[in-house]
Amino acid sequence: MNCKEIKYFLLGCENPDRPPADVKAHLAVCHSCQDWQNRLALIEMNVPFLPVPASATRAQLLRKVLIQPRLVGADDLSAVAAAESLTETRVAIKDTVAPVSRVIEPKSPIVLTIGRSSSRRGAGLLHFFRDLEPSARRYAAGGLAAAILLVIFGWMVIRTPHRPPTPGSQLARSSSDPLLASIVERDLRLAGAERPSTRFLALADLADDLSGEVKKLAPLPEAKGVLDELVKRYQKVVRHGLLEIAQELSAKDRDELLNTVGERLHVAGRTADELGEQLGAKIPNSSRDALRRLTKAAFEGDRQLRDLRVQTFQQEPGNIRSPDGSALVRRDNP
Amino acid sequence: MRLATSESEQLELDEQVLVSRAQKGDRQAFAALVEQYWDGLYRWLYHVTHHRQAAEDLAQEAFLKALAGLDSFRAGSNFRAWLFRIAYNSFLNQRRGEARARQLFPDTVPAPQHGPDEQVMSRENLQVLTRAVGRLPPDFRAAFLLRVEEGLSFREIAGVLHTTEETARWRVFKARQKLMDVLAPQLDREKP
Repeated sequence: MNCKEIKYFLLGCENPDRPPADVKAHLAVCHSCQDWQNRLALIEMNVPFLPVPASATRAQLLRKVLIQPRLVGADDLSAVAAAESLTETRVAIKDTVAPVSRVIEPKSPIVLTIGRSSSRRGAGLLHFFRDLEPSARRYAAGGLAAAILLVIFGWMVIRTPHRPPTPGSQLARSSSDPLLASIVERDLRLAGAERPSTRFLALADLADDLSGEVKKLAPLPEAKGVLDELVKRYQKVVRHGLLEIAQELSAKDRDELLNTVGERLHVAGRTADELGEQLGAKIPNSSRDALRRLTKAAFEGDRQLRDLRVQTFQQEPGNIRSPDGSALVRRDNP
Repeated sequence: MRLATSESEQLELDEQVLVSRAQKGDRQAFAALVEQYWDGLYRWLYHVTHHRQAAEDLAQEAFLKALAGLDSFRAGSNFRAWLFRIAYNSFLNQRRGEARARQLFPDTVPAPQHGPDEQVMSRENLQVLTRAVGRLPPDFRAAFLLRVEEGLSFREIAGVLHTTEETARWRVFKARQKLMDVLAPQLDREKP
């Protein structure tokens, strides 16, 4: 190993202060690398001394833990923690600590709607599910339920005039399916959103959830119809949701949000594209096609958001494009 | 902070006992887990959020969720990683919501408490390090601090941050590289 390789190794290993024998041998004779390793070790050794403001919350928490007989809403939190233990899916819970002390209210109409819709599936659909492997059944059921829900909410989510959320609806999160739970949460956020920026971010989250679901279902041949529906919804959320609401964003919000959400779309598109490449012939044509369409919609969305950002930027007094046109610069900092 | 192997093994053993007792409903045992992990979790969340109140809320929420979901925790797996994953999920959900105003780092760095054997940077360098860590991209910072302060393996970091082991390694690599770029000239100047 030469010096450069040694440094790369140390940067990427778990314990740069405890290197393997061959690295140690190099360090023993190379003072430059030894100094370099010492500096790295010194930095890491001092990280625990970085200042952090004192917190008084631990005492409160300990009181809660020791005194309170049973945390109200524990069932709710238990479901979240269980989900985090069993899967690595992000479960969408909006509130922070406050809901723990709230009394759980009756399920909101939205949750009841989900329950009813699942109980009224037709016999044909049951046969479809019965023929699937258990794991495939779970994904397909989740995806299909999400698609049904999306059909119901679809345009309503994007177009609904804003109404203030009811207190009960804030706690609507009983679905055991992460996609359904997150869609319900997004819907609540959208319904309660006064500002375009909030709606924009909620839709971006919804787009992420949908693309995530498409990627999960892509390897399953049985998920063809569900995939198709999810991709269509994704396209609608991006083309008619995000891109339209982006126009309503204030100039102040645009700079950051268009960039952030554009990047997210790009990542969603790239990962879908990579997944399609990676799975190749192992997945049916329908799944590859779904991934391709998702990639295209995501890249197109990213491109349009970038264009909008450029337009906004150019309209601001004092801003110009760099000479090669590739980057935006401010006049006071060319 | 990383611990010597035997000490770390002892802590793991204690942790398993505490978790097991807490799972049986022993609140004192869970309180002991809070005592054990509060500082690390709060510190990490503070560095990730740059906001004291947000870090406190998230830490508290993570512990309450952990308490409520203890039954689902698999015996023998890493409680620390599980707790940090719960906290990180809450952070992601919060970040999607209302953006909080960032709190600036304190201007004055309090004198750290440290043992006689430890090599400690000068106050000035510690300030530079504080700023440099604060300016790391959030994903790099989160991964780097989980490695350096919490001693999680790359695999465990990947579990907390919902990514692959290789990505976790890459984030730590990039964070170290950036810190070295900023700090190395500074440290060289102070060399005797």
